[in-house]
Amino acid sequence: MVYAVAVRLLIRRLSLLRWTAATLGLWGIHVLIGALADVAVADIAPSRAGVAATDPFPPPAILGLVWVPLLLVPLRDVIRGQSPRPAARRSPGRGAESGHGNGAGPLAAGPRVASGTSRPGIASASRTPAVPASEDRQGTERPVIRQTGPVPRPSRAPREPAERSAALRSTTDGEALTRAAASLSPNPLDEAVHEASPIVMRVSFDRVAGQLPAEAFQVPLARIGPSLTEPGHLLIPRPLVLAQLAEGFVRAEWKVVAEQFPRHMLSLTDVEVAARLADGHLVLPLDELVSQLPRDLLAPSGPPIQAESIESVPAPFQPVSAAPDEAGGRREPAPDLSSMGAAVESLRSTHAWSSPAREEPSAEVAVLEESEPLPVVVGALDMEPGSQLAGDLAPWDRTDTAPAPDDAPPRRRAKGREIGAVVDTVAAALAPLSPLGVAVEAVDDATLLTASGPGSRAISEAVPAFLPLLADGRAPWPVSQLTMWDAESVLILTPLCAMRRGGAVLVSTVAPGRAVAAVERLSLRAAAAGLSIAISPRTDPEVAEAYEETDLIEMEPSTQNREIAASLDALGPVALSVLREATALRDFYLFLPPGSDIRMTCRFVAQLDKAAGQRDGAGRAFHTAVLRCGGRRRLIVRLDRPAPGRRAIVVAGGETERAGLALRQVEAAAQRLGAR
Amino acid sequence: VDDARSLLTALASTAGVTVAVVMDRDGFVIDWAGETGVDAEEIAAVTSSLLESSERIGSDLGRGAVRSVILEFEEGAALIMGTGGTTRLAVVLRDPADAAAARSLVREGMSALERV
Repeated sequence: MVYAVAVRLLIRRLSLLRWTAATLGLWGIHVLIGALADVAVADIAPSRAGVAATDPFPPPAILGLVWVPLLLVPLRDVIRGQSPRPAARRSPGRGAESGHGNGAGPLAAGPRVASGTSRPGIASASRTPAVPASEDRQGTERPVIRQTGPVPRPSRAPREPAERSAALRSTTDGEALTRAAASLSPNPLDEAVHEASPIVMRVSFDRVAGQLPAEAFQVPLARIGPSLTEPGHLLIPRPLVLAQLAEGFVRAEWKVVAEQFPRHMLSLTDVEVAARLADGHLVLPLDELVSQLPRDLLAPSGPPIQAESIESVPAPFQPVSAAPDEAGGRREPAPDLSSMGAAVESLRSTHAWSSPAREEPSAEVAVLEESEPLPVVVGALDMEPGSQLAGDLAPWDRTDTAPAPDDAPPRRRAKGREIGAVVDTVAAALAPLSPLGVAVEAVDDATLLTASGPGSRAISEAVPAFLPLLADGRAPWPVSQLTMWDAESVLILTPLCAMRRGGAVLVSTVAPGRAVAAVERLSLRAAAAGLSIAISPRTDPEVAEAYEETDLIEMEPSTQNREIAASLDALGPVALSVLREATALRDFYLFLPPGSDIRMTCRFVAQLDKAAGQRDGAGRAFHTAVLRCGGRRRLIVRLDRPAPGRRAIVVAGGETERAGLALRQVEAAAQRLGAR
Repeated sequence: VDDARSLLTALASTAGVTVAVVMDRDGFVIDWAGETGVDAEEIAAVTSSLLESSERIGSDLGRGAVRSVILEFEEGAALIMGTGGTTRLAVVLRDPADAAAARSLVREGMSALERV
């Protein structure tokens, strides 16, 4: 009766069956204790000689009545029919202390968040010092962690600790992993993203296998991977990763992963394996881990970086476009570096290059567009191609100023990862030239990746005038590179994608006589390696018609002209044509392969001459342009301006294996024709 | 050897020579001779860039212009010669041991190179 009352009072909302069972159980224990007490008293009594025979104290019945009900406290959950409460049910403070402070559990030595030592926050929150667990327990403000985007393995984690624990067990098969993750769940950085991302993270076993001692296994390492708890992968508790992320690398002790290895394949004990690891840890591949984190976890949460003072940095570490723009403000001020992601891919379309007729649907078009201020970013753009960080750069989201026709094909937007990968590739490809940096800037509709080699003079202000000439259909042949010479500099423009209403162009500047050919080839290599934007067909007759028509009169070549044509043997067989421009006082001497469209070529050269003449106000102008038109085909144009009056412009084209000789021959031809 | 073309032909026919390229200071091919399938443009661009870098070293050391650079590889060698003019010469060899003969031949035709 006493036990029935005790069960009822201590455990509420209990079914009749469980109540009865609990009462009978307690009564049984009472009888057992009483019997054992009687036996013990009987054994002890004979040895107590000389002691007055009295009743045992305490009486067995009292012993049972006092101690048996106390069993209800630990057995409360069992009587209810529930599992014992997990450790995570403890208060956060206790959980943190027991989970991290005493070194117990597989992860105890990993994340030391609760040790009371201040450590930086995670990833992009590096400006926000991490909150020690002791402060966090007191309600200190936590770093802002948002979760809005998709996560690698979306799963809705239960809210109740008991349910969460069950979820942990279902997520990973490793019991130790489950215990460790559960004990770390109070991690303040972790909780905010707990509900939307998995508690464990996966790293490829192949990426860490090299750190494991081969003698620790009875089979080759290659056979270990498929036998892991999750074949091919090691499971790492996310709190362990988050706690170390800000340090730039993540390590895990052997005991974190030990139970994921089949024991029968191990030939050493865990202690021996751990002793053979470098510094006792496995270094985990950061890129794989970062790619599994919710993207917003890495988003900056603090105020934007103030970068204005960067302009005061002395050369040569100054941003390329930090100098005041003398050409009318086409450049924008230095950007907020926090928007680098958008900056890399930003473009403006305030100055459309072509008429609306050029918007006809013909092929997939890479659209580079952005409405944010023009960015200029100089420095190490260290983005791994294809990495999640690079891929998380904000995509272009902007409406066109010139809407496309209704029947236009869907435009493929160039993603940040594409431009980022191109930048990365360009920087790597130009490494032999030791460029001061690869700058990314937007001019008109184009993204310019600018690399200036040592000894070169920045002449990138001349670039915008040439960009339309790189667009599809402007030149008689597709242009894969345009190189412009003036007396002091060589400007090399290499389109990185199909140029229509914009695009990406690699801009390299070198000094004459300083490995111009090497820069050209490296730039082409960078374009080829980094190109991820589809090339669209260049044939676009309407583009040519949209050009300003030039009044050209075909002239009869002189004997000297024919002799000159015969001397241009480096370009293969060429046909001579002479066209006179009535209004602009220019004579065009064309030495082109038979069958070339000479009027289209003249229109293009006229535009090129106009752009080259706008060089700057210091009297400098480009005198030579060489268009590389795929393979060995080149179009060489002499744009000399020897004196006021009628000018001779020499244009020679064809395929050549001797570009240097062709240049010299065209230069000599220009001299003979009075162009120089 | 009285002109660049003759020099290149003589070099190309020398034992161990794969290709000989004359280029301008920018690294563009002026003429070349040698085995078919060789990318003379690449050779010219790369070697000219190297010679340009070497010239800066010579300038920094106060030792004047670079006359020649010999590169010995595991499987061959390259001989790069500067001239007093605006041209440069690169000779690619199968074996570093063949460099001496090629170098001797180049010295004989150096005046022809300078006239290019």
